[in-house]
Amino acid sequence: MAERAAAAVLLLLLAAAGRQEPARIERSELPPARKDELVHLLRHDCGSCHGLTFKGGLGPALLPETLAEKDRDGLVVTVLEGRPGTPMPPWKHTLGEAEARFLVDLLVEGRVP
Amino acid sequence: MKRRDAIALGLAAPALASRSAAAACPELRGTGDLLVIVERARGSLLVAESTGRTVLGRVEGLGDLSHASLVFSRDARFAFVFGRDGGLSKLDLLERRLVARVVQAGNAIGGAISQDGRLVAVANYEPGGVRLFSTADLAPLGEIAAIGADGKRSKVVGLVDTAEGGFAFTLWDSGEIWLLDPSEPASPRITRFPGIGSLPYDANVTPDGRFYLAGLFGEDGIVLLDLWHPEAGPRRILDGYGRGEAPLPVYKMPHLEG
Repeated sequence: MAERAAAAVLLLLLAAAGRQEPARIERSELPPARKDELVHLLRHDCGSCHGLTFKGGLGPALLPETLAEKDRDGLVVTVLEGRPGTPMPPWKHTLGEAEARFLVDLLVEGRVP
Repeated sequence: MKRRDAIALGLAAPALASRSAAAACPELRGTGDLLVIVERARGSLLVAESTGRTVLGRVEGLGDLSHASLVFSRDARFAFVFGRDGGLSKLDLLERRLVARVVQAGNAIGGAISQDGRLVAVANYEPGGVRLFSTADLAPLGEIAAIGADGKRSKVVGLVDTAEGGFAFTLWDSGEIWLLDPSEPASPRITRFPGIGSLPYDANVTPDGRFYLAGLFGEDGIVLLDLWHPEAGPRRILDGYGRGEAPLPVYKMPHLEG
């Protein structure tokens, strides 16, 4: 009886985890080769405006301290949709949402390889 | 002094070298076939020669070269390197060593050397403006804060030397062209042309030094200023040249090259 209850709780926890963070599960499914491509894009395409080391160029800096106050979902939207009225282009034709979130997480957490 | 000028001078240089000097110094060589390669990620430069295509040496300690640009001295012996960390470095191409280096701002984008060879001007993003230095020893000589008509400090792009001995540059944020007369570097005279258009991303000058051209990112056109008749003001050319029928996203900030 106790075992069945424990199993049910576990299932509930798994279901909750799945509902709360679908993006994280999706992100972990990005193949390593695609992650390498994305990091290259981050350094050399994003970096062409924001700096190879993300300390800023014509575009603003993308360092953990400059992004600390920003909402990650908002940053993902910025990457995908761009910022109308500024040179920031929409990347949704190149990147999926999980891919944009992977890059945002790297920047916010200061983990760009 | 533009790169093409430096190469032309370098080609002329061997004719001036004396035979006795050549005999005393077997390493004597010109700089006309030299080139430099920026090693962006490691912050160093390779000096190579393009006749035999060999690397002559590496110069290190140049700071953050993740975005670097450089210009050559009048005599084509020295390179002045502008780095992402605001570093300005003077490099001896023949001895392959750093002669002088100053970190003069937080973030620099490029620069130019005056026609008389005495001044090197640096365009800065952070803090937005232009600083003037002696080409001899990089001693600071003057500073111009790029405060636009909107009252805000702007990033500076497209800094070039003009035939008149001064400099021209463009304010990215506020959309202006400024001419700089550095006759008295500590208090340079500035002529401002505000309202040239939205987000000028780069600028260039024609080889004869007459026409200064600024490319607009925020609009579909180019701004032209006749440096022989600056009183006539900037005018728009090539309106509608670039975007075609439907505007498409631009994924990389372009350079404007002549």
